Amino acid sequence: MHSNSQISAIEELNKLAQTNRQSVVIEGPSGSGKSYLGHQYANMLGVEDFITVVPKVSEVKEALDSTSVLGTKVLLMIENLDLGVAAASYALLKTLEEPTPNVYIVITCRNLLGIPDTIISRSAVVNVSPPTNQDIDNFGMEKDRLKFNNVSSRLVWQCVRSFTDAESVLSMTNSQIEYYESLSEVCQFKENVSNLVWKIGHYSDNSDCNLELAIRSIMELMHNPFITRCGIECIRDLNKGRIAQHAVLSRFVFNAKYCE
Amino acid sequence: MISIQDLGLSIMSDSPKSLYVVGGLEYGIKDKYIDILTKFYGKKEEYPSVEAVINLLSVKHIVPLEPSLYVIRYDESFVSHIDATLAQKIKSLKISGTIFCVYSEMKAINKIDKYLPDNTCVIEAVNPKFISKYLHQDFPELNDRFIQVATNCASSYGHARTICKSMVSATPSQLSSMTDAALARLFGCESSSRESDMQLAIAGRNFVAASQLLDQYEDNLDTLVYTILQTMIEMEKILTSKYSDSPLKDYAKCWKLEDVYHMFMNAYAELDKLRSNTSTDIKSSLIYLFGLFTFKDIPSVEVMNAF
Repeated sequence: MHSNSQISAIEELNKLAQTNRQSVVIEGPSGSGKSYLGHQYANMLGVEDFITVVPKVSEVKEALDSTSVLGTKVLLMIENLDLGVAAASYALLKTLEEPTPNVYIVITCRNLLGIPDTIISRSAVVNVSPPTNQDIDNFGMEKDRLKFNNVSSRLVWQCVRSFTDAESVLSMTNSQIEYYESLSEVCQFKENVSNLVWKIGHYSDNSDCNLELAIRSIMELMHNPFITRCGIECIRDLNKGRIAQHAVLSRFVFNAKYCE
Repeated sequence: MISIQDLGLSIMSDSPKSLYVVGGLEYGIKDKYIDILTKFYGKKEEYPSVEAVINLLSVKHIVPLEPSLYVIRYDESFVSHIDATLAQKIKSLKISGTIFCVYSEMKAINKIDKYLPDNTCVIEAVNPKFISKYLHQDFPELNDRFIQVATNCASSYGHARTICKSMVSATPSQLSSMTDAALARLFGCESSSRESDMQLAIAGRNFVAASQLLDQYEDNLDTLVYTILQTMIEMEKILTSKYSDSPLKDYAKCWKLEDVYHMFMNAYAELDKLRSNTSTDIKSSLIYLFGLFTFKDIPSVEVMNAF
């Protein structure tokens, strides 16, 4: 079942499938279901072969070379092309200019500004909105009703803004769910930045936690406009993936500790 | 305080003690002992504080707890709360297993040692001869040449152990095709002293030294921005923590917390520019950042943006 936020994107993809459009760019925030829409597009086209490609030059070239010699229809989904290097985008250009009849290309991205104009001008662009709270609740119920009933009133579920995060929360253990509530202790920002960064980024067994959910939990727990602004900037930088996570998180903690 | 020999004998015996508090900078030996105890008990649990373990062990359980290794790392609250009463409480506690507390700073260990002298030990730098001997025992699949490279490259046994673990993960053909120099380069051996020199220049707010060191770098200049960020995090730790054994401790007098904050933010802003705009010249950015050291009070990003 499609979520409300995906309905208009599905309608657009349906129209494109009817015109047998071979190149489509799907733009939307992280965890909004772009990969799911790519699969739906393959279904609409009646394409059974579906290959997911990471945005690396070697991977893109290899996928294009190996599929162009196939006799059957195949859909290549290049995920988050805006996070890859520019050369990965340019590796696609030749195929987009002279499409191989059996190859369909779906490119997903978080931000169209990270995709070269030459790619955009040769593709149909479909936007997908972030999921609403209702969409996320429906997704949780559909995925695992029992677990959803257990977590829906917990802090961490209130912090979920994407289907990916919802899936991640549904697979968490009880102690991991409790960890996000225990961040209230961190919110006093009494320790040094280095320790706080470690505590925010790790569960008590020292394994990595979901950073975005941890920052959102702190924003929810503190209810402070300044911390909210810092948190939003932190999540934005984490999603851009241009600066190391440790540095991004340290900036958030520095700001929260010394400016508030 | 017990000696490292007594600690090793006790851990490798059939009846390890119920509590060990181990300090010192040599984390490799600590890891090795944790591995031995984990094998002995068959399970290891990490806890954020000694208090959490005491609470767990103080409660009566319907199904008795299985003997286990409880590892607690850098629990500063234990250091500040330890006194004769708490030490007596721990001694009288029926601990099913072993509590293993890890510290790196001497001040923490010295304080705990006052109340728990039979359980406290410090592991400082291990002689390279012993490093090589331990590595041979730990990694029998690696030959002499690779053990030697790891010993020469590493600053400690823990570091050497990490290098050997990486080598074991590579295929034998990958390893044997590389020269000793290439392996040393791969594990960052060549640049380690240059990087620590740069960190000292940053910590000392020394514009001239930092600029001269910059000329020696040919590539990977953007890692230097991360070095600035890392040094500021370290400096904040030194300025706010009572127990710091950092090699940068002597430079704490050069910094106020406001300066540390503004320096971190300026470096972050430059890194963001470098990552967003490929036309930004990294060398100019670094000179600009080093130039901020010369201000009595490091200006904020907003002030610098106004120029």
